[in-house]
Amino acid sequence: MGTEFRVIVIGGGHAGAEAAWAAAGALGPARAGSGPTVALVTLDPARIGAMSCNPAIGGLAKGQLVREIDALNGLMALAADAAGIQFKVLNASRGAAVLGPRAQCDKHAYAEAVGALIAARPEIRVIAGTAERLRVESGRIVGVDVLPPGAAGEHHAIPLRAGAVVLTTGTFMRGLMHTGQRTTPGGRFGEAAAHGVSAELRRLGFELGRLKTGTPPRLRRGSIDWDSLEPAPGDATPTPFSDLTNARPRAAPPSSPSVGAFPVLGQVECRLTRTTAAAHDLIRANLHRAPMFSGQITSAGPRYCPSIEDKVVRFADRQSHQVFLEPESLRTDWVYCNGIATSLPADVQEALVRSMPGCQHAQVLRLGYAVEYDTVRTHQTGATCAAKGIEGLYFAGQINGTSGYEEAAAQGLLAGLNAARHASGQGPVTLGRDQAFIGVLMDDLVTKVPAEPYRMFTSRAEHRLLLRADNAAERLTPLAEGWGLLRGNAWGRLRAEVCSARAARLAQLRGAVARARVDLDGQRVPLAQATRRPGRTIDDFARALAQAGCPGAADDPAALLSVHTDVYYEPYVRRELAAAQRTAQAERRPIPPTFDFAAIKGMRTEARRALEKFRPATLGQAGRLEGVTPADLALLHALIHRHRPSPDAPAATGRAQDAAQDTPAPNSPDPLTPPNTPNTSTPPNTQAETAA
Amino acid sequence: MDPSDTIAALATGPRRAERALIRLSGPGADAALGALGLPTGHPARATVRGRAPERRPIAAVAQLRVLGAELPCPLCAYPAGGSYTAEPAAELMPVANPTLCRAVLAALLGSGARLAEPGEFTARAFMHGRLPADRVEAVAAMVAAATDEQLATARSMMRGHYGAFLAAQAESLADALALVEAGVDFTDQEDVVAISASALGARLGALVEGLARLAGLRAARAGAVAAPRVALTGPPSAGKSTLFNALLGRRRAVTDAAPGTTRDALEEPLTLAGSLGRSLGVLLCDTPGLDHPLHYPHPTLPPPLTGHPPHPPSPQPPHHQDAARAAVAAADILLVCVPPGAQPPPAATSQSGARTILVRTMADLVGRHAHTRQGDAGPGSGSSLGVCAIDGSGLPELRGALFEAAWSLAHPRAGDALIPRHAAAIESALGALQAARELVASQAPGSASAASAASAASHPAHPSHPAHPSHPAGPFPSGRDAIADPVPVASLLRQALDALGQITGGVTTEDLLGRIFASFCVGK
Repeated sequence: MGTEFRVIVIGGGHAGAEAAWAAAGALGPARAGSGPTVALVTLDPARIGAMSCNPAIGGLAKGQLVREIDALNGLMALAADAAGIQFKVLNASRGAAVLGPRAQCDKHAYAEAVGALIAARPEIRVIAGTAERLRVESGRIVGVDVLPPGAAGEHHAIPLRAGAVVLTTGTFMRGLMHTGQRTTPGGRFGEAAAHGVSAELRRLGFELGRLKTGTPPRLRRGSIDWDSLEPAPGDATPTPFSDLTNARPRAAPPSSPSVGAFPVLGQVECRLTRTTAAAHDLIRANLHRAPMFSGQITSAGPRYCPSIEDKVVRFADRQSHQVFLEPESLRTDWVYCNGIATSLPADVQEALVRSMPGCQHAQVLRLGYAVEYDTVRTHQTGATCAAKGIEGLYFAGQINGTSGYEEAAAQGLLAGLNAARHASGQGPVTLGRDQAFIGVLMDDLVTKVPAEPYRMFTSRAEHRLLLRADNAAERLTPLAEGWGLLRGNAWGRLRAEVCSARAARLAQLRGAVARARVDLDGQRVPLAQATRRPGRTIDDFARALAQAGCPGAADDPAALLSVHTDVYYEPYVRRELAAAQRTAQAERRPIPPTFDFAAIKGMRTEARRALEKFRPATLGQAGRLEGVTPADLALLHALIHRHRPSPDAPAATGRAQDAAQDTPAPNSPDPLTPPNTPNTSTPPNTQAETAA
Repeated sequence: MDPSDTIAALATGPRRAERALIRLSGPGADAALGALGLPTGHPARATVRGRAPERRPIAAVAQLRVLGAELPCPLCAYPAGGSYTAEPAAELMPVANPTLCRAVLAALLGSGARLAEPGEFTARAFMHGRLPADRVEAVAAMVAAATDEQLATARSMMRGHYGAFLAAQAESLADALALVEAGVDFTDQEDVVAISASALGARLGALVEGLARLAGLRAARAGAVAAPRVALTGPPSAGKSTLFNALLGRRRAVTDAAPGTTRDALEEPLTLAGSLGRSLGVLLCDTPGLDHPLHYPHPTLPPPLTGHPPHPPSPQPPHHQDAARAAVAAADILLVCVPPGAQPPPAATSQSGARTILVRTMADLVGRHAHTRQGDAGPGSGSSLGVCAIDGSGLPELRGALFEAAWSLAHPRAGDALIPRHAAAIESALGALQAARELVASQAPGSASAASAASAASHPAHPSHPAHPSHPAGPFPSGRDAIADPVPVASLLRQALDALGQITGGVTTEDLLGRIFASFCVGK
């Protein structure tokens, strides 16, 4: 086996799989005879893409992330489309801007789909083992020593070499699982913890944090009185995640069963039950045995995903909480109990389950547990996912304090892409808060160290009206193309085709919007104006477009909705952008990586300490740090303007500058702006500034 | 902070001085000066000799067109080669009258300049290489010091003036936004109840009203003159003229026990001394007695014409009453004199917005020397002081109260330079809130436009997501009172909150999410 790679990815979860996939895409096909360029190292190759908690992809805000991953030619959407057993677009009543596509997946089919996609790329070699040692030479990563399964002792470790390494350790770094007073070292049920990486990061000087998450018990479906429970169905017409799924190519790309044949699997219903007041009393009586309350667990868990014991304590007035019973697979009869994540002892969990209607005889197949794990505190991570201080090292997923498959995959994609670019001597890339939820995610992470596992919400994005699931491809696929992610692979080629066809259709619709005039209050007015008036429907909109010489406007409902949404929200978007205009110029202004924050004299101590700790890459990031005021920012701006790196500074240090340079301008937010015209959201001199 | 635009700021502090200094710098400096009718580009009256022409500043006394008048204003215009910032720049030195300075600044901002950030002039000088490298640290220290002072000023201002009020408004707004966001981000949670359109509308109404009142108050204060006018008013024979003379310290007005002795309003300048060595000039004005001193303050408004006069006939001829009303209307501060046995006016507020101080005259006659009763200290209500002009008791207290009232008028707040920024923030918040309120109203029950907003959300391929079926009513305000399209509403509320945040300190998404998590059981 060859031990030389361009990129090594440690971890085969949702971040790791996406990182390997993106790295393969960015590096391009390997030259004949030279072997794979990306190593994906994981404890158990059979468990790549495992859904260790909820068997679902997407949801509110997370669905937008999946659409963005797809637009950047990632794999998550394709896998979810291949494995989905219930599709539902959430938030349909809250407006087109916040639609959240979600799919419940057959977790075995999902992991297989991810595994098959990885296997379909000759650029990737999957290696079983654990990372024992990170090899660092003069501040750069040069490789990882990997211990094969079953081997013990450092002398058995295989030294893999690469110029870039992505760490996606999930819950495995010093993972410790709790069920009642019983604790088991491990990252996931039945899998061992990884202690080597954690110790290595400490040795290299990283400050680590510790977070907690949890999962509910799983039940046997046959033991539940399934038919007595209220059904919770999906959408009548399932909506896929991937732009490729709806394509009708002559030949589908490899390992992409959903392309042209969606849905792939049979669709199922979930069932609904609830906890009871008696069970709440039981939980209260056993709180002293709950690790979350007995002091056994001290690390912070997510407030938005509380355990049932947490809910009972914090919302004591509630007599009952909803529980969704979700089939985990078509092949097995495992059922996920969405709503009762817990680390209570076995007897309490069993009693809790049996107190729920329809579950009197339910058999618990696996107990719920909480897991504590190490994270890298994110003031040490850049918006490119790069570790600060060690060149070529990248972090993605739960190691950065996030929670959720989608958040992990989004970071994995960015980390894999930047790792590959680093290995090829290209500058790093980032996404802005106005370009993508992925940009919001990264910016939030690197300006505030998460105090609880970080989850995406649409309210985290200032420009939510622009960052929609429907326009993800329009926003991001051109960037993916520019970054070379579409070249040299079948998925990318098909995506480029689909994207340009859609762009043409959108241009046609927008042209018609610009031309169309309709009657309003006895006057002929532009269609856009009438569209925002009371009582006008999307059908009126389509009719007006047809009259304006755009027949068949309603034939592509997705494109029609996208254009209608743009037109409908245009005044609000304009207003948002005007409000953001003043800060827009400083937003992307890079701070040289050699800049010495500690040497700033005369700045308020609080601000200087925050800057020293986070070492922000742009003025925008600096301004979002806690403790940095606009005045501090003005001083910093002045100082970086004068900063010139000394000639003997380390060579490859242009990260922040390159990051800003390589970040293309945000996509046009103005639905009425024809493609390829200067766009209104970018201040005119931003380009010049970042290119300077 | 973009060096390609033009910045302006009031460089002098709130302390009293002959001249204020307004700085202007940037490529549009000439154009901004031109808009004020000031000389640009070419040497006007005098130039400073001894420098190369391209670096030579122009000193001039120019005619400044502002507030509809022309005022002489010394100024120095610097070409880019000779200015502090290495940009075309100018320094204007108008008379140090806060109203005038604000007007000049507003005119500059209106002609393309924007308000400079703290330390920005120095930052620009630094960026353009005007300051040598060895002075970098000194400059940095200077900028930071200025900044800290401004922060301190802002904080003290926050405490003393409208800070608590604004903080409460921001708090209420943040809660409202959290409730709207809960209905967007947590629709899959059974416990989450989004705010209804009518509840949100009511809350926004209260916010708009509160902020509009503040904006109005600010405008009223901004109009305050440098030498406040203090008018003595009250019923005939209340002892106004006696008090007038006592305050002046000399006999200027004729006094007599007979009602109607004073026929015309008298004006005399008076210098008041305050604590900490402060002193301030006011214009003291004696007026003929008014039966109802606080009514009809506008000189052009006649008393209401009704069949029955609302009040007993006045012993004063009508033109005396008119003179008195005119004086009252023009006053910034009213000393309302109440003789023994008379009832003070029911509400000691003036319709013209002047501050009032209730003075119980002839305190010796009621046997309560210097009896002082502190009233509500809020604007317009004033306190009540017992004064005897004969033996001088209560006079020092009255002078003190008068000084403080006049001082706060002439110096609306510490840190004048911050006011335009705050005003802009409040106005921007108001604008966004009003837009949000209209949007919510247009979506409210009975409004035809609710359907249109909903239409944006409905999609042929996306049938409406049904509420959790086990919840009979559904987790949201169902149907008619729901906010049909909450996302743009949230967008506007966010902008308003960000604008207020420039004064009260920002509210982050984490804060908002925290409010949601604290109120609802979120999470499956």
